[in-house]
Amino acid sequence: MLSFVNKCKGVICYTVLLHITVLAFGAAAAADKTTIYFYNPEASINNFASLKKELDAYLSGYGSLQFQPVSSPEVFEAKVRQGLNAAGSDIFIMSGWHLAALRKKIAIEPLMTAIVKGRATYKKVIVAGRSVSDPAQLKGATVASAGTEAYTKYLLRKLLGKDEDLVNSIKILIVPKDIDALMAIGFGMAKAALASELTVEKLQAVNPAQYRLLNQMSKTEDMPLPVVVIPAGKNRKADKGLKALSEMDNSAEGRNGLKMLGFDSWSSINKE
Amino acid sequence: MRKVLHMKTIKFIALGTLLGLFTAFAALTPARAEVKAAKVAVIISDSTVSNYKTALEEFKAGLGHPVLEFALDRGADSEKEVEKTLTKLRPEVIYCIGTRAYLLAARAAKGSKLIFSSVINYQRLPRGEKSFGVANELPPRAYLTLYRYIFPGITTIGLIYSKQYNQEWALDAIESAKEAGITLVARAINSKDELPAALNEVVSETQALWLIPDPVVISNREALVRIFNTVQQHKKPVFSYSEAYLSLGSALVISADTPTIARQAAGLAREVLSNSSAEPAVQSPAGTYIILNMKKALEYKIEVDMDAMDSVNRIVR
Repeated sequence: MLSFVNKCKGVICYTVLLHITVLAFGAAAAADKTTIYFYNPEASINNFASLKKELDAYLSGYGSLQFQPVSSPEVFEAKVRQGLNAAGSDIFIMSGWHLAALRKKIAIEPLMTAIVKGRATYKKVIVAGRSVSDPAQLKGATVASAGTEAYTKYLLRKLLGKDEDLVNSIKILIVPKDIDALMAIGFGMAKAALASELTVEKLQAVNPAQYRLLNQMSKTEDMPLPVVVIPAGKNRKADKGLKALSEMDNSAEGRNGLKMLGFDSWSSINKE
Repeated sequence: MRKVLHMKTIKFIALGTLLGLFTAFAALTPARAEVKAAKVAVIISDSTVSNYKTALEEFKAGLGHPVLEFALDRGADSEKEVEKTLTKLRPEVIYCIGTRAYLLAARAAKGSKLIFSSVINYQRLPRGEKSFGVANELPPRAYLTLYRYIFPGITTIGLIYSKQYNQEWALDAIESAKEAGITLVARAINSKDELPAALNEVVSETQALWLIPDPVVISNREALVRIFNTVQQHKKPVFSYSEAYLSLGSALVISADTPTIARQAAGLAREVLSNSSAEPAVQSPAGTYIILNMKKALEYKIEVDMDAMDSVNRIVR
């Protein structure tokens, strides 16, 4: 009886030790994994599951890399601040708007920029129905936008002048994508919409009749496309992830991932 | 001595008054909170349906103040309890997620303003001047624009519908198709027996079939399977409105985006609460949810505009 009890104790101890070892190994392996975090306040589409699946499939060819889209700015900023994992190799893809805001608070370094149609910049347009030509007509109106409320207000201030009362009176309807925002005008759900210049051009191509019902009120100056960022001062432990990103347009899988992000390729940012 | 007593008395009375006021305030506060909370109620037809839960959360986030929540998925008793509570509290606005929720609110809360969403074919609902909502069905123009947006090479699409259920919608679709540069070959059927002939006709003349919710066209599962089999035998894609048809081989699914619908409902609630005119009373959904079956697109060699991929919610390979 005593020897049986002792044997049981032995088995239990062995099992516990085995589990601890496996967990510790797993934790160490996870700690070495580079995560490429992505947050985009300029779009509200819920495609995270597909985006992660596509990008993870591409990144698996480069070793222990994973892609993680993030929906909350607070969580994303916390990750950027954290900036360190055991290997110090996490990478962040963020919008140009977000980069400008975060750089004031956190030491981060942009290394690559997204490229669309050969450019590292884009323009945002405010479009309304044909009967709307004066920004004052948008007082109290609904404006459809695919970005977050904060980003939308930032754009409205750029596009409508510094009339804070006008901007604050506008009711923002968040929709998943730019094309939804443009269509919302035609269906009477919004008086105006914010969309990228490229989306407006695409609508002109696919539905000229619907495009003709719209009036482009104004557009922004060139704004930077999203960038790839690492915490400043980190040594090149992020090289594997950066290499994987920079080579995305060299393979069909990588190109699919880029297109899901809305880009054609990445390009290094020249430091002056 | 009398002066001191007099001062003590005054202090005692003052303290007593303050305590009394505080107690009265504390007693009244729960009732005021209850009244404030009762300003907006939400009834969810079935709390196990994930789309309904999403609608509830987005509505609450969009409205920005507390709501009273009720769920009707606990049997007949819970409906009676909800009716009693609604009659007692008389919320100013009730957001009804699903048909069952709306019908209950329409019965029990005649003085409240009702906002519906997640209702199939809202025209069937009993509605008056206090009814508002967001339709579940996208306008034809939305589908057609997005078909061209994702598949720029698709210029002819077949559509089968019944005059009984979709006459107006089909006419709207035909007009909208012209705007999008699509030739819509539409065939009306009066009974399910007419489906096979209509199907063969439209499939032979077009590049894709647009499947719409029509109880005469989709009379039963057998009809559904026949539709998919026939179209796919011709190596052509089916564009549909529900994720449920992916397993049958739908190449593209476009539906209304639930979070956006709930945000629109929250916007309606804010308008109604501030006594602004909520026009139109029933809105079209402003957001779309797109599933692209890339496997089918490749199989049928359909040109996919890769620049539209950032507008696709889910890709099936």
